[in-house]
Amino acid sequence: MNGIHDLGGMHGLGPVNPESDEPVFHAEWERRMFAVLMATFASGIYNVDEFRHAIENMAPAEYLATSYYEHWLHSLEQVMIDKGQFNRSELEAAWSNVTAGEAA
Amino acid sequence: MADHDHTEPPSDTALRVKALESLLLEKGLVEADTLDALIQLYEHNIGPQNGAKVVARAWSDPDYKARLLADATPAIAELGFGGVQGEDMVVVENTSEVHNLLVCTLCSCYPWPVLGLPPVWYKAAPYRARAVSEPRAVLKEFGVEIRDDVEVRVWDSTAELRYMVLPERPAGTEGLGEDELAALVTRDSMIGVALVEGA
Amino acid sequence: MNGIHDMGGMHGFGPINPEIDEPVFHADWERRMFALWTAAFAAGMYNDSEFRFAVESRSPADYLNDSYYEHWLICMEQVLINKGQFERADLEAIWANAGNSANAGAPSGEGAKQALPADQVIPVFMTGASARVDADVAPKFKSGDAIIARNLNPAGHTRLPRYLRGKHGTIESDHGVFGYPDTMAHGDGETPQHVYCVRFSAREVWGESAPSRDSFYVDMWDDYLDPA
Repeated sequence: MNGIHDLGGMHGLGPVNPESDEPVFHAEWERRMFAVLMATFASGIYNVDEFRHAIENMAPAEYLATSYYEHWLHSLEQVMIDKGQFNRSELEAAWSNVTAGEAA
Repeated sequence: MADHDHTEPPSDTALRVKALESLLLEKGLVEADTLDALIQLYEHNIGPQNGAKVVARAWSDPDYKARLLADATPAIAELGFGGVQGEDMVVVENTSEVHNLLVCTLCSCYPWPVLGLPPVWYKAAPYRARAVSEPRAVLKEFGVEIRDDVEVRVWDSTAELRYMVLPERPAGTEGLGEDELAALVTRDSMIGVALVEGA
Repeated sequence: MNGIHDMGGMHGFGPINPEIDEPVFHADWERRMFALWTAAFAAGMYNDSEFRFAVESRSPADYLNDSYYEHWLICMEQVLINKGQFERADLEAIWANAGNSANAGAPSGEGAKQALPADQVIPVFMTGASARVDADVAPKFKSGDAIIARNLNPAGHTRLPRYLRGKHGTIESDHGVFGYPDTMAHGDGETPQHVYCVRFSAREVWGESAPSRDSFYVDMWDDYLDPA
């Protein structure tokens, strides 16, 4: 698809801005996200092309405004639902539980 | 001397517009009455009712239609319409063989004098991206199905020519006068995302 | 520039979602913004090409997330600062004062000469200003000629969309001589040249999956075209 991910040759994205001594993960959630992705991938629930395509299908504005591991998060949620591993209601329930747990 | 802190703009857009207006008035770059006159002109006076009159005249008068298709700017001016964002007009005709669709993929170019200001959907990414790559799917979303043996022509307004579609006259309208015909013509039919329905 | 604005043929944007009976303006600030932009444009503070380039230059995320009139607002501030009509400090002072000018109602200085008077709105806007240029420039092409749209990728403003670069088309008609946006956006003069209506087949642009009959008609400047 001619998606927003197909950025080759695009202007207007600004300077590269490499970070000096960049850590492997910038936050604990990134670490967890990486691990979850790798574990599910290894179990063969989805292949890399399905995973990439789910990222490509993000709304372009959201794709540009979110970070790399947020793309992974978005994609894994979607791919798991597509593969019938859980449904959206179960995911939303998990969101509610976590939010309530945080507030508690 | 302390560093000048970079002030962030107000997060409330209305306030930010008010600030710009205040500054422009303060500097004498715009006048308050002028702003009101512009709003009156484009919110209330100019609109698709203008284009509808052009279409109704073309349907009623074959000589006018011929002039309109040959050189639209003076023909449109015959009805008293013209000006900013319509200084160089082209009118394209829908027939049983050709269906025309207008878009500006790069921004929002639109024939203001005959259609007024463009709607949000015309200026937004989905239409601009898809009108050129899948015009028939876009038309279907608008409820219009074009037969396979009809050519869909998409006009991308890249330059300063401004386009308007002359929709096909619906059947059963032979007895109608120009005012009645104009009342049938919708803005969407002059962009090419709708057909004109009969009375 | 190959900016996010150049979106012809992009996938992933979803349905069109037209609003039924959409009002001309969705909020009073949009109404005011339209009037401000138009008044400043009529007073000659910027041309269309310059302003379009400012909008195109926004970060892609901001371009997609902000609304149409927000683009006008943010770019108008920037363009007028770039043109020396006011300074960012002037804006900041008003932002700090809840949007109110300390000198309200007291226009001063050079600017006062530029403003379009209210009684000129109808004459100016009902006449407009054509982009045609009265220059004796020979056309490179004529109706029926086969052309290829050039593969130009300028960093500055252009009106040659990416989806058409390198594609074969046919000259339909010659619209006459107009200013060239690629130079006009950057203060580099009009470079007057012919603009043509060019026909491209849908299959030429999108491949064999496109309907065989369908086509594009796109206006192109001489400098965008090579003979095929």
